[in-house]
Amino acid sequence: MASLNVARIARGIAVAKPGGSTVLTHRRVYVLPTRHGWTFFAVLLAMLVGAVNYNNNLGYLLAFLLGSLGFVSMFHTYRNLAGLSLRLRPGAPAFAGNLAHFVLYLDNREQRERPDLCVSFRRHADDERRTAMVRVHVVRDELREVKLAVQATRRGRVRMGRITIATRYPIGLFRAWSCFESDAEVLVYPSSGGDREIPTHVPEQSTTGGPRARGADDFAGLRNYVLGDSSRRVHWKSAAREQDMMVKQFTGATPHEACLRWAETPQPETEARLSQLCRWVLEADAAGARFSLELPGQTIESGRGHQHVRRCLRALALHGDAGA
Amino acid sequence: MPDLETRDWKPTRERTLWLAASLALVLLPHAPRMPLWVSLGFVVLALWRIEHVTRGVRLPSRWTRVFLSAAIMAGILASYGTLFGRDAGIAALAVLSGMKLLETDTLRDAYATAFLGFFVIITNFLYSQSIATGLYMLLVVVVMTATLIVINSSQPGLGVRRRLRYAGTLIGQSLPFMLVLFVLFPRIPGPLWGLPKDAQSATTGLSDKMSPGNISQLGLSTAVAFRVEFDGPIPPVSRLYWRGPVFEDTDGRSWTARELQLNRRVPKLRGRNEPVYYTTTLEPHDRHWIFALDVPGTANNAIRISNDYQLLATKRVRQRAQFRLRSYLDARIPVITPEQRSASLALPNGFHPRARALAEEWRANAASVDGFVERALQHFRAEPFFYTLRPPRLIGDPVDEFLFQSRRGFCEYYAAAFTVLMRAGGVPARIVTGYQGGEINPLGDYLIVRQRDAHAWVEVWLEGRGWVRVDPTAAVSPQRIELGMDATLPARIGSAAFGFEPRGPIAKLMRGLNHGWDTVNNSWNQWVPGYGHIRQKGLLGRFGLDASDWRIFALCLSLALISMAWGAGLWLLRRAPISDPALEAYRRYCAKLSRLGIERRHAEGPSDFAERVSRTRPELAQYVRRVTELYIGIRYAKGPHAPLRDLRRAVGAFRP
Repeated sequence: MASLNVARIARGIAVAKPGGSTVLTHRRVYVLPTRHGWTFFAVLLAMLVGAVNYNNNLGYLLAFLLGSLGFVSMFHTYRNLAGLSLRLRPGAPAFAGNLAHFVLYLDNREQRERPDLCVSFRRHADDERRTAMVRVHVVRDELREVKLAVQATRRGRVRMGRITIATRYPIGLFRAWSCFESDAEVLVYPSSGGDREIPTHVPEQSTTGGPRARGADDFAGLRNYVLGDSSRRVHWKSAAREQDMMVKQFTGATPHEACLRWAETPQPETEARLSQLCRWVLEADAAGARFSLELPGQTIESGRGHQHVRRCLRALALHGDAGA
Repeated sequence: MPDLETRDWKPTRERTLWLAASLALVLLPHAPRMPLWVSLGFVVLALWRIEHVTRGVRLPSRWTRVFLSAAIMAGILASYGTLFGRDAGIAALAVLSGMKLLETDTLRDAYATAFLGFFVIITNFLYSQSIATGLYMLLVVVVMTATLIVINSSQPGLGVRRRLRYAGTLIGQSLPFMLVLFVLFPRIPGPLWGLPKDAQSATTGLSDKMSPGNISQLGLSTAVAFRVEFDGPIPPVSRLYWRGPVFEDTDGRSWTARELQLNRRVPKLRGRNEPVYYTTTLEPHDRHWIFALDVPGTANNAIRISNDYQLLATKRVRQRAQFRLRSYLDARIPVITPEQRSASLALPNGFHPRARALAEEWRANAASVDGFVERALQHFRAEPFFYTLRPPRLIGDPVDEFLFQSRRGFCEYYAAAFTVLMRAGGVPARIVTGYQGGEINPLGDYLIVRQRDAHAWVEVWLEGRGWVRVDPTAAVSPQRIELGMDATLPARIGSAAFGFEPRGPIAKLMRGLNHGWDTVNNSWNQWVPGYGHIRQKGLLGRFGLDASDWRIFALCLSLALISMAWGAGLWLLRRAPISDPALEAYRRYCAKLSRLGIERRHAEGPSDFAERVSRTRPELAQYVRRVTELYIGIRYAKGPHAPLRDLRRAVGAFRP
């Protein structure tokens, strides 16, 4: 039976419809004996030879019973996976160097539980060999969410890559598995970096008044750490209390209207420039300032707020990407 | 990636306990057969491991373990004198499985230990293939399977009972496959290579030497010697003489058999008429003897017939064996060779003077040989001879002392004395041993012959008629021959000691139960341990298949397995039945809408879904509303609601 399934392996892997879910039908689930399975069958062969030699019929019975047990367990292993439906949803955008999150939905519409499902996935965007495994027990008629995190290395888009879902339930003589690939992708912003202060273009109208912008002079509070923040600004006390890393914010002479230009970044390389721009965007946002973003071939009008920041960061993330 | 899936495995307390318990169960039947230190050794090693995972007791170091293993081997060598062979090998397996348990640190170790346990199961069958052993081992296999589940799965929070139930399900589903394999797997007659010397233990049975006392030991053993199934009706008990070793030579005290000449063909018989056909299932006795009804008429590749008409198997009967036999109850052996004649007339010099004198006197007075034989029998009938299983010890000449003083004995005594009398009177005579009678099991319609049915009788050569059977014991105690051993003997030693006669309703009931049990046991023996080449051939032959053609086997086996696998696949991979009929009906409704391209979203409740459908497809609004109303009513209403039938009807009312 196992050898029949070998042929299917070559046929490729399940690819989800865009945004849809994939049902692990019988064409997509493969079964092969595990190493322990092979050992088991070797022991059975030894038993059978002994039974033949001693002409011991109870020995025959035992060897055949255990052989049948192995055979039946193959169906059970297979059944533990078959019919499960999978869907992968991207999580919120991440910064390069941070973890990009995905949510895998395991939808068990059947009235039987599916214990010991091993979800293996690539946990590093660049390195196929670095994988992680999550063990899940899905009860009957359950929609189970499994959070998967991938180390994002570069800006752009990160895909989950291939997810392998495997099981050896119940007795570990066989392993059933299926591979699943989804087009779900998480947007990866550039890491914030660079050491140039935010360029100030103070418009003439606003000299005094308006909200005080945040800069480098007076302590104004804490915000969450973003990769690229200067280590001098980290609030170590809270870090020591095992809370999230916080960064101290200061108010000062930061302008409340800024124009962030590609041309003004000092670095020669594209990625470093984008990192610098990213940092400026975050700082300008933290300061509550209005800002515009000028990239080669793309300009984002001046604006403020969450939506605006996301638009700008997205532009940075996808800079130079033909599909953007 | 597969490695990653097993890397987080830990030898938890639960896993350790399951492994230790199942190994203990497997080894339990071996315990009485092994030296005490082996059992204790296993228990200590297992407890050590359990204490380690429970309380963190330190495990022995690697060198200590090596030393321990060496010590165990030395112990086995000291106890058994060898490391090989069945008993020593199993003892070694027992302690080593304890050692293996001690070092079960990884998943691989755990599997190795469990597989070792499976292997030990099979060793139990070398000692016993009884129903009890079979059932016990089935139970052990279930426990071992549960252990495999516990080792492999990390599913939390399952009790012992649920594990066992799941294991039981797996084994239950495996049983049909096992049966097919068992029936159709080709059997080869004989072992692949030699069996170890101790593969069979010594068994009881008749002896190849007869001296007073031998058969009395068998007399009370209820152990089964063989079972017989007749093709036709069972002949009357008084005609059931099962021929065994024949004794012609005597030194005055004991009787021994002559060297046998074996024939492949049945020599001629006199007065042969319709033969009786039957199948005998012989319990192992580690001899060549096959006990056939007098006079046997079978010889083939597996069975030889000797010149004194004994049947002998070509191989020692080391396992329960079946033979198809034919006998002629009315026939007589018509041959006597010159050697046989001289051997069956010989008497040792200086022995039995009084018996000889008596016989010579009778012979002189008798008109014919027949009259002489009749005179001798008359002597046993008229004189106060008694049949007893506990005769007094005979110190002097055994025949003279028995005939003239003690006059108490059992078949051997009578047969020996009668033979001596015949020879002294010039009539060739020899002793035939074997079994007489048997117990008819009315439930199974077969005959059970037990060791206590062992018997000895005499054959005398009468010119013109051949060898004629004379049973002098019958002259003393006729009932014994008419009704079998049970009538003259207290059925059990226990009842003899208490003076209790096994009569009345309780004894009847006990006898009935006994017969019932023997029927079950016999069927088991025939079909499970006794299922071999011949039976398989017979079974397949009933379906018109030729078992000697391996292609037929291969075809049958693969056809059966493929069709069963297909069936199992369909059955196991079916959708699990939904226990909630309302939900089932509702899902049917969802499936119908899905065919129209309307999918219910995951987070969408029935009402929201219905609303959305009504909005987008107004023509379905009525249907959707009706179904949703009923469904919500049945599932969630506190008060009375419409019956389930209405929902099913409402769902069925619409066909996309």
